[in-house]
Amino acid sequence: MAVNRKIAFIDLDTRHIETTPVPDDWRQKFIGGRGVGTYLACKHSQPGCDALAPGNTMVISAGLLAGTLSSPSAATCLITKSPLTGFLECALLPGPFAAEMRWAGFDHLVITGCAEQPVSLFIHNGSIKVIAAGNLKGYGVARTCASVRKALGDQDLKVLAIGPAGENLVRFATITNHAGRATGRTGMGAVLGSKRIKALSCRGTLDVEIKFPEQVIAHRLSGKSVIPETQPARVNRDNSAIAFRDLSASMADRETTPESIHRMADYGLDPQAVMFMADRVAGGRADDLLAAAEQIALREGPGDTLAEGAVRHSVNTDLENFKHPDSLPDLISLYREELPAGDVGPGVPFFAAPDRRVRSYRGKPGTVAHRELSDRLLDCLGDRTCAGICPVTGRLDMARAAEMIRLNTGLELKSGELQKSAYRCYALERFYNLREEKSGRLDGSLEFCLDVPGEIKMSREAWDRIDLKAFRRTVAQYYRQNGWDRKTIVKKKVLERLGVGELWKTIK
Amino acid sequence: MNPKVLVADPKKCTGCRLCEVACSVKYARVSNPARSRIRVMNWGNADRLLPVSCQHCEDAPCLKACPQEAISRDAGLGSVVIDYARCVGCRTCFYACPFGAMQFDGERGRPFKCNLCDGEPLCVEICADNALAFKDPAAIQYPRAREMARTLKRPFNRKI
Repeated sequence: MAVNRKIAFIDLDTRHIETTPVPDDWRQKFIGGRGVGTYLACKHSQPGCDALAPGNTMVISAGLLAGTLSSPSAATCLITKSPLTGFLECALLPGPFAAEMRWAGFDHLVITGCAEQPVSLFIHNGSIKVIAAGNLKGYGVARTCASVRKALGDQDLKVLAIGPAGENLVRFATITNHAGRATGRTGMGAVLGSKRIKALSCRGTLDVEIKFPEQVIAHRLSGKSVIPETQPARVNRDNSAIAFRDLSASMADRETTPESIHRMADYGLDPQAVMFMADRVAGGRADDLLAAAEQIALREGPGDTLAEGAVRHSVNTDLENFKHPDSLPDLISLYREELPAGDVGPGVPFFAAPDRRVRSYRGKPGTVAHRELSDRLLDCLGDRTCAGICPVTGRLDMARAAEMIRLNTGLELKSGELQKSAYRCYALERFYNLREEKSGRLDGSLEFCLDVPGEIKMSREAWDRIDLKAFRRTVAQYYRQNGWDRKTIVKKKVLERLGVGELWKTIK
Repeated sequence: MNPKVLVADPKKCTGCRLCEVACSVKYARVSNPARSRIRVMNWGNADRLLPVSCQHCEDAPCLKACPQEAISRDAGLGSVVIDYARCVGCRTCFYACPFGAMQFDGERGRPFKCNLCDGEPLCVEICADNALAFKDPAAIQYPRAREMARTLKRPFNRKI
């Protein structure tokens, strides 16, 4: 069956690798991908440890439908404590790695500890090898991928690699694949760098059994006519091989060429993050972004403090300036750059706006909750193509997703169960962040956005329509519905109800 | 009648591998690109992608190499097909194919290759980006010729 895959626990301290099948009941509880990954991160990471310490666990997950007809090139979920925020982050890396992992027999890689020397991991048909990679030190992403492929003698290897930025623990370093797609921000590259993993390569030729092949094909074909052309996973289309951010608009007025953007990505940095750091954080306008990227990646000169990320850099250097009301938008921008998983921040503009037709907030908590759960369910399935998205409303069709799971895997999951699994994932993210939180609280962006209208991307007229009192009431209702208390904290009884109550005792 | 041919457009291919998975699900009832009759090739950065399958060559090396005469040409479709009743699994065709399109199933001990799904290729049907087409050769080249003519049109279109 498509569910017959394994979890690999890789301890880099001892180089011990243990594999175990994904328990059957986890499929119902967490489905796969982000759901199982979040649970594994909660269970196996050391509470309160530094994100760049050996105790932090990096989980690399493939969704339940990755590698099936539903989603042959699903995004890979990378889940770990972010060195940028100190909270749990889930970064999605588009490309073929997740599917290849499933064809190699694995759904989840749980990486702990820290290697003594740079290493690369080679995953192939049920086995994982730790290979010395000292010779790759300092290499850019493209050269690393090419070297790994050459060394292992397989040009079809799917490779994830970090550049010099990841090696030098730049807190927003990316993990990039052989096709130039990256995890964007969240600092996943730094976590891999802290474990001294330079690259992961994967090749699989094991069967992923499909329960009802004919029906799956028919279902996929029936969906084709209603799926917009832009929906299928675009591994790459543009010639610059940088597709993880729409760079053309934001960088059009800079002296950047596709080559310089490519080189920034080759350092293991998101070019847009470089621009943000070089302009808004360092102050002034950096025309030579490539030089800024080099300084950040190699931690040279001013790049050393910039490599600490926007908020840390600001706190370290000149926090007082940011307290000035004129600088508040900047502070909000910084905050929005560094949002933890489980924060409702990305949904704020939608949350804050009253329904246009009835001009009320009635039903808004439910709609926002559906949106949050939909995102998580899609990440659990590893599917952003056809299984769930209704092409008309753009919302997740749970029944369609359940049908796709049944046809591919034979698992009979009802819509309600899917919703509950996604909610479990959401609650676990909140729980993890509660466990790590030492000061401040989640959803701070909601507070910021209530004060500064320009930052929630709304027109002045739309902003004027917001009833702040009603909005605050709606937010409180949203927390109540989800089981968070007024301080946004997930309650113990919620975890017990979701069947993951045993994790509560890990809170110190 | 001029038989249709399967053509791939590298400009449209996104490398999603849907064609590979669909082919393996249809014929092997499992998802596994290693069992697919079509394979998406890429070089380094994925900006160069090309789905490759059997070209059904006019002067097919596999057909000529087969010692058992198990490979023949289908008169209707013009495709090169394997007769498994005659095939002994000697792998001669596997070595003879210059495109690497002839593959070998180690479990069953027999070669396999694209058979154009009896005239309705699933890979073409399922490709979300229309990177694959199954058309009359003339219909494929005509738009290219037309595009070429369009670029030449301007200098020839001047008033006398």
